[in-house]
Parts: sequence; structure tokens; C-alpha cells
Amino acid sequence: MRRLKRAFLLVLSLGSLFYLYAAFQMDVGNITEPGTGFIPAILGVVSLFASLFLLINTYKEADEKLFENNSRQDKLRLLGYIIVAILFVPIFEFLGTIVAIFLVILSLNKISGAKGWLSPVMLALVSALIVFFVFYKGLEVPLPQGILEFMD
Amino acid sequence: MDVINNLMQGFIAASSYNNLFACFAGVLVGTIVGVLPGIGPVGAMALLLPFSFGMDAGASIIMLAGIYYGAMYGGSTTSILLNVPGEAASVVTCLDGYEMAKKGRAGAALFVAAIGSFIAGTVGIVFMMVFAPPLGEAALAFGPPEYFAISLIGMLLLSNLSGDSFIKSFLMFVIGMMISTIGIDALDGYSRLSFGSIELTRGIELVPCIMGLFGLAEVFAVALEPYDVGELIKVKFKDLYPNREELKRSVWPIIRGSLVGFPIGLIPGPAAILSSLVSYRLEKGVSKHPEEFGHGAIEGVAGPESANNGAASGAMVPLLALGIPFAPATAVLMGGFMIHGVAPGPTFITGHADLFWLIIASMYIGNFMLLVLNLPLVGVFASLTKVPAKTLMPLVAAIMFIGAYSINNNFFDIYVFVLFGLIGYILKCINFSAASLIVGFVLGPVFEKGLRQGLIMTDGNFFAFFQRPISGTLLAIAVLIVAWTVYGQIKKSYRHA
Repeated sequence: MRRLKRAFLLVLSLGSLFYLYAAFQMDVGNITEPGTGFIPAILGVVSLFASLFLLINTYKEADEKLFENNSRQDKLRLLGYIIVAILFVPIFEFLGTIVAIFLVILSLNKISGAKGWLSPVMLALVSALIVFFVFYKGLEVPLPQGILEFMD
Repeated sequence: MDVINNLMQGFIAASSYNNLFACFAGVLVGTIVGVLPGIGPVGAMALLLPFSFGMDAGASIIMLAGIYYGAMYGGSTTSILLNVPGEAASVVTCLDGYEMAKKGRAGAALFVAAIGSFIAGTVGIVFMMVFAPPLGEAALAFGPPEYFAISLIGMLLLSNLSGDSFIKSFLMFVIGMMISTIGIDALDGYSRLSFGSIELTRGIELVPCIMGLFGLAEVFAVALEPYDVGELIKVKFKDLYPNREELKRSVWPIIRGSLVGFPIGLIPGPAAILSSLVSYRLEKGVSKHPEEFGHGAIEGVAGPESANNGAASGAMVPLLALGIPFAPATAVLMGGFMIHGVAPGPTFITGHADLFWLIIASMYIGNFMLLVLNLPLVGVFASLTKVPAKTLMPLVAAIMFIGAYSINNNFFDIYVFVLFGLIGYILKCINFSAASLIVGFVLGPVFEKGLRQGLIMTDGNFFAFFQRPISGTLLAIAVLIVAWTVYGQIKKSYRHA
């Protein structure tokens, strides 16, 4: 856990530094007339110090193992979920809503350990159609239809 | 008399089919998410926010509020029957509720939890009805220094009460504020930190952030550790009655829980869980049989369950009267208001009196619906936990993806949603508070506007903030909180040395 915490705090420190730099590119103003960058400058300084303080503190802390009680399969499942989440947007954009939802539900279901193909495929298909019609027809959200545009 | 008249008008409006349906849908979904481990009330509210687009403002808020207080009810069911808290505030109920169930008194525990929740919820609404309008009126006189002071107090209290370390929660709050600065500066109209991107110029949307932090992060967590519920203790309808002794022992804990929960709800922080803990300690302290606590004391169920429902009502007061949400759940409610072009705050109660009283009346109705729904159907709700995570979570994730897109019909919001999902999961792993980040994000603009306008108003004299009675008092409290926190840290480091 300590490594993840350190990595996270390091990213926060660098992010704060960059934010602070961006804040000083704006009009910071002065105390009688604070400008656009006034609050970002304060926030940048505070977050930089706080994240550095916590980062240094991680070297004094005892390490607790993360995922210690999880098997390799558990970790792969989590990784699978994350990959599916990241890949959703391009699939959604190019192949359309129904295909994207179908693939998301099916892949997450299989990653979670669903056995066989028939029931996961049926579950994914029915869920995709229900979600699409609820949002597209019911709530009138203009969802991308991608390769199934002819259905409109 | 005005209050009675307004409330009656509220009841008339709340009795329309649309509003009754919204209320029923809200409390039903709330109960279900309260029962199911993995989806918290905040994630569920964010999930259902897109469904409120087609509704009018009143029905939409009624539904979202129903999910919020409905989840508090549902959480107790699995705590008692399965020793699995459906949501964080019900952790305390496991201690004695499950022990009672093992002794064959599950029905009594469920009945007392439901009645306690109903009474505390109703008492909380009465308090809200009494306190919110005068607070709203008083807030009309608030200027920028007062709003700055309120958000500062919010920041300090939340950082003190959330998570395991002040500095960690404080950092998350500041990060939330930093994210809120992206986009058009509300005071000068300049675009900030957008780096030429049109999406960033519009600013980061609250709802995809909340959906990611509290929804997708939970899906990732369940992916790693799918919940596995044990044997469900069955309860028959005829067993749903406590005996005379149990009923007698529950009366005062319910009253005390209601009275303790509401004020804790007003404080920024994890009010629901905090109120349950305070109530549990209080009941153990005043009990003639403290040794029974942890082994099936009915007071350990009655008090905390009442307190967390009282806190849910209390948390609505700062939102409705000041327009300031101090908790992630009320931040989602604020998102619901904003979507329909209604701004909660001091002018809300007078300017949208019909909506305010409609919400109040619907909360009475919703509490009654919950009571009727929860007692006879307790077995049905508890059996929902048998829906395997591998079936439920993919569906929840898919709805969230589409929900994130439908906020503005753009792909950028889904990227924000996924990014915040990952951040939320990392925060969970390393014990940082996601609630602080979200509240910081919502309070950021209030803080900035208050400080900048206040400084312009006082010609840069920050000490003038201390000369105004309300902001002066609040800032003095803020100084005391800082002093107390520093003292605590020094004491802690001496103890370690």
C-alpha cells in the first residue's frame, strides 16, 4: 500500500506544482483586488505542501500489504474491469450504444466468472436493449447508434 | 398558522400521481440500495439522476431525497439478518442486531429499527420545517465574508471528522477546490486552466465525478472482492413484533437517537455513521445493562438506527437554507436542483415556497411509505442480496456509463467518470476521503467568491471579516478548531516520542 500511496502523493505533488505554475500565469492580483489566479495560487501552495508532507511521512509509516488477501485471479479480475472501463468510450463512440453496452456487460460478466455463454449473452443482450430504449426512447437522450444507425 | 397552511399545500401537491410515484420509486430504490452491499446511497442517487431529466423539479428532488433516506432504512435489514451492512451508517447496527437475530429476535430488531427510523425521520422533518425557514431568512443578510466563513468551517470540520487523518482529508478538500477552479471564473469571466480545450472551459461536471468516485469505484472494489453473503435468517410476518419488555427498552433510545441525530446531520462530515456511533456510545453509557451491548441489546439497534435517519433530515437543512451541501449525498441533491434550474439557498424557501413545502410533505409521505414497505417485505428485500455480484455489477456499470454520457450528451463526461472511478478506487485503497474531495469541489466556488468579494468589499482588510458578528463568530470557531487540531497533533507526537 505504501508504494501506491507514494506514487499517488508524488503525482499529486507534481500536479500541484504544475497547477501552481498555471495559477501564476493568470492575473493573481493583490489582496485589495484579488484576480483570477488569486485562489488557485493559494490552493496550489497549500496542496503542494500538504502532499509533500504526506509523501515524506510515508517513509516513517509501517507498510501494510495491499491485496494481500487477494488471489492472482482477483487481481486479474480488477484489471479486467479497469481495462473494460477505459475501452468503453471508443467502443461507445464508434460502434454505438447497444453494441458497447452489450460488450461491457458480457465482458464484465465473463471476467466476474460467469460460466457458459448462453445466459451471459442473453443477459447482456436483453440488458443492452432495455438500457438503450429506456434512455433513447424514454428519456430522449440522443445516444450514438454507431453501426446500428439503420434502426432509427 | 402559515406553517400549517404551507404544509397542507405541500401535501396537496405531493398527493398528485406523479409526485407519489416519484416518492415511491425513490424510497423503493433507496431501500434496495440500502440492502445491497456495493452500491451506496450516493452512487445510487447519481445513477438515477439522469432518470430525473424528464421529470419536473419537484418530482425529481422527491425521488432523489427518497433514495437518500430510503437507503438508511434498507441498510439495517442486512445488518440484522446477515451481519452485512448495506451501507456505512448501518455498521453499528450489526453489533447488536445480528446478535438478536441469532437469538431468534430478528423480527423484533427489524421492527424496532423500522419504527425508530420512522419516528426519527419524522422528528427530523419537523425540526427541518421549524429551523430551515428562519435560517434561510437569516441567511438573506449574509454577505461574502459569511459565506467564506461557512465554507471554511465546513472545510475544517469535515477534515477533522472524515477519514483517519486531518491532513489527508484536508488535502482531498483542497484538491476538490482546485478541480472546481477549472473553467470560466464566475467573477471575472476569464477561462482558467482549460489549456484551449472547449470541454475544460465549460468546467468539470459534478455528477460524473460523483458517479465515478462513489459508483464506479465501488464496482472496482466489488470486482476485487465480490460480496458473499452467508445464510439468510428467515423472518415470518407474525414474528415481526417485539415483546413488551423490548418495546419499553426501545422508547428512550429512539427519542435520544432522534434528538442526537438531527444536530449531527447539520455538521459537515460523515453524519450518518457519526450519529450512529454517538448514539450507540450514549445508549451504552446510560444503560443499566451495558454488558448486554454487543450481545443483542435492543437499545443498540433502536438508538443508532434512529440517529442515522435523524441525521439524514438534518443534512438537508444547510442545503435548503444556505445552498451549501456538507455531504456527498446532499451534493447530488444540489446537482438535481441545478439540472432543473433551481438554486437552493436563502431565497429558495421564500422564492420557491411551493417546492420547499412539497419536498417537506413528500418526506412525511416517504417515511410512511418506507414503514409500510419495509415491515411486510423485509424478507423480499433481504433476499435481494442473493443476486450475485457478477450479474449485478456489470449492469450497474453499464447504466452508469450511459448516465454519465446523458448529463451533457458528450463523451468527455464519460472520460471524467472513468478517471474519477479510478481515483475513487485508489483513494479507497489508501484510506483517503472521497467525500472530502466532493464537498471541496462543491464548496470551492462558495469559498472563492466569498473570499475574493469579501476582500474587495473590505479593501483588502481581512480582519474586517472578524468585525462582522456572524462571520466573526464563525471565524473565531474556525481558529479554535485549528488550535484544537494543532494541539491534538502535538499531543499525539509527544505520545509517540
